[in-house]
Amino acid sequence: MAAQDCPVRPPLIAPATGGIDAPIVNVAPVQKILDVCRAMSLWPMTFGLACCAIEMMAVGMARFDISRFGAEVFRPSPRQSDLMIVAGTVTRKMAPALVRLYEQMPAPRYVMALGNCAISGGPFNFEGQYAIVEGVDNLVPVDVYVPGCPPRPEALLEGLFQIQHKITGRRWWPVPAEISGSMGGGA
Amino acid sequence: MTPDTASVTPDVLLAPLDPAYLADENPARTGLRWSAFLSADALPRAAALLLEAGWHLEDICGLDVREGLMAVYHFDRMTSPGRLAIRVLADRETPVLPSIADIYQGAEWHERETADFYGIAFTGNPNSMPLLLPEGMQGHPLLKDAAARAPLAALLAAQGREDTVLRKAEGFTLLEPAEDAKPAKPAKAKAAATEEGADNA
Amino acid sequence: MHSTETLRSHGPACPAASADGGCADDQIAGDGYTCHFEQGARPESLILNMGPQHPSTHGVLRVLLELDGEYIVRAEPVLGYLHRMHEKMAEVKTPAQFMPNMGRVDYLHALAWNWAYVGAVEKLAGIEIPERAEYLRVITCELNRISSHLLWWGAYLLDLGAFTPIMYAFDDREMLLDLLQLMTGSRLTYSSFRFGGVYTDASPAFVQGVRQFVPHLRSRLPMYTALVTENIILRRRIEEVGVIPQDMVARYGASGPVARGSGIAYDVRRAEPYSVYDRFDYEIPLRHEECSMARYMVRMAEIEQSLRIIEQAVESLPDGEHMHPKAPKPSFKLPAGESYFAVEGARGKIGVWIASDGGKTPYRVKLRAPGFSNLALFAECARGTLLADAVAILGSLDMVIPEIDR
Repeated sequence: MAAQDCPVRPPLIAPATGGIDAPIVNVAPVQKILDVCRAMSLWPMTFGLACCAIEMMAVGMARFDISRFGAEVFRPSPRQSDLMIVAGTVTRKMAPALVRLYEQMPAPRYVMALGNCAISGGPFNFEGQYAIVEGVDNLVPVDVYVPGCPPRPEALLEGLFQIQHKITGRRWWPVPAEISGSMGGGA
Repeated sequence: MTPDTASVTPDVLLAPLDPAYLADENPARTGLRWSAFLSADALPRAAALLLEAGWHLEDICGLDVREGLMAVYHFDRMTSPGRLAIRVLADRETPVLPSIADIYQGAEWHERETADFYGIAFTGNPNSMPLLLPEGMQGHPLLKDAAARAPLAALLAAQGREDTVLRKAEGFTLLEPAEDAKPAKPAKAKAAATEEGADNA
Repeated sequence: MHSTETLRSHGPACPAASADGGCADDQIAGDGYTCHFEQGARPESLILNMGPQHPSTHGVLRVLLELDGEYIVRAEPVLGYLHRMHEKMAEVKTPAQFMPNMGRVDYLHALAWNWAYVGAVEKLAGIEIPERAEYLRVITCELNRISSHLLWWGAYLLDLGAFTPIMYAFDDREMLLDLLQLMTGSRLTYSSFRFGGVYTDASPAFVQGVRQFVPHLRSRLPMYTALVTENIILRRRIEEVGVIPQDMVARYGASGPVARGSGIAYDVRRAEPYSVYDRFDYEIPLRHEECSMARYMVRMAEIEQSLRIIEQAVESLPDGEHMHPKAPKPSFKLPAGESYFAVEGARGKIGVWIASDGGKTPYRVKLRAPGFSNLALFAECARGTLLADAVAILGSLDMVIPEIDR
């Protein structure tokens, strides 16, 4: 492995580098169609760190079924994925690995910060904390923030819809109706 | 482990090591059945005797008290349950304890974790890399500010333990209540600042 | 916005670290752990780094492997990628403020950790619990144990290459999660135990739901056995793989299904009885083969035993309060002293040790995680096995990394 791949050159915790180049041939209607295709078949990377990973798994299963929206192909390798769902707390020990994985993803790539820990450090952001990164947006640019501890799978799906909105410019799925009255208990 | 060693209680088992303190405890009050204070030199021999008698190591935890840095070892037995706490005190300036990782291999990780949090060096531990903390991190997170340290007696000799002292060496004063019996809290005006200060490594 | 602190890149143990902390040898790639691991390596071995991000769902575990072809010569797990400072938080937060942490230590069996902490506090402070609350704790904790085992089962088979069982496991698990949501208010990281009882009483919908769920899951288990447990591919992959003899269990302090799969009949519910478990008729599954298949069979049998306990507890659920009328307010202070409380979690013996000097926050809280001791034996157990078997062994240990890293 080449020396420049060594991930430990200080400073250890630094934001990711690398932007997204403009397409070589830019034909707007073609880009629009490509954007729709891309948004409807996002391949998430399995980046489950902690508790939110279980809700990410649940969203891939039959009840919440993310494959209805095209994103069921969770790829372990960053080279084959375009959506990094940071599901869980990012510790300082893990930060270099996270940045490296983000940099290995080919463009266009998107990041969803799932859960309070990925947004701001969550419950572990207390006075005197020494081990976590207070929000993954200190390391990589985040496209959508999904709050919750852990967020329900429906919230993750809503975050996915927001990313699709960001890519294509419009929302494709109905907005869920508000449930009036008291909670019936369970779904 | 032979059938007769299986039923030997710690007070008999550890007697040859001349523990400074040994007590019967009430599990309903503290969760412990026995507690003992040992010197650092006696620790490896105690671990060997305990392993042979069928005890397993539950955990090793550090404790930052006024008297120094203490390592508390919790042992238990699967065949005849009853928890034993062995406490060993290390000097604060150069906290060194012998490792029992050659006897209880599971102790390697517990010792590394205690070293991470308190800076206690366990001589003989096969792996010196930090276990839980990022490598290169300075400081030991669970050490307390001097003003926030409590005397050991305030923690381990409180009222209502319902323990029976079985042996106590001459000159053993670790569990005597401190002269200032108040808990080690700073004056109210500085309380907030000190709590934050206590969190800094 | 971002922190540019310059941590020294290699710890003091790294032989290649230069004075300023940089990497002295440009050709060494990898961090201090890799350098440290490579010191003892034979020249012809391959050093492989498994994790901390890998498709297994155990979380952020990194395992450094020295391989001779496909055989593991030496393995070293590297921890700390999910160290979330629970023990530090316990010293700066009041007991009530620290309760939500317990749901996050091991999110799959969160209620067992809830119980261990609440039990330690209640023992130290002498807080009583109404009988109904004890039963509710038993019912919800056993339901949580089943959901943990179901997820373990699905994830284990996913690691081994089977994609369907996890779908079925999650299907059953979703029903369970709906029930637990009625009692705890959340799907995953429960913190519904309180000092003196439980957060909410069991509604008729909950009791009815449990009564329907138990026979439903019972009817599913034979299918899982026929399709998966007796599947020749699974059996070839995990039978006689990852032998953990009894002396290894003792030397590492392993517990739970890891110990019971090796013939050691140790269960905290029988060894250090707590709550009302002694009123129920249930068995402790025990196997003697010491391999991954034995641990697998123990966990599958535990699902059935948990169903038995739940059934009996629901039928004999006494009337009464779900919180003791004299339960302390959340702002209460622990009295001085120490207490250790152990609970049987899905992974083994969970222990919480609290030492208090009578102040607002506990002086020291030690969280004894079963996974910590169980994973420690992986290095010794995996020596000489194939790389594919390492995955089978890791899965059979049923680890949840947050409880190991705390």
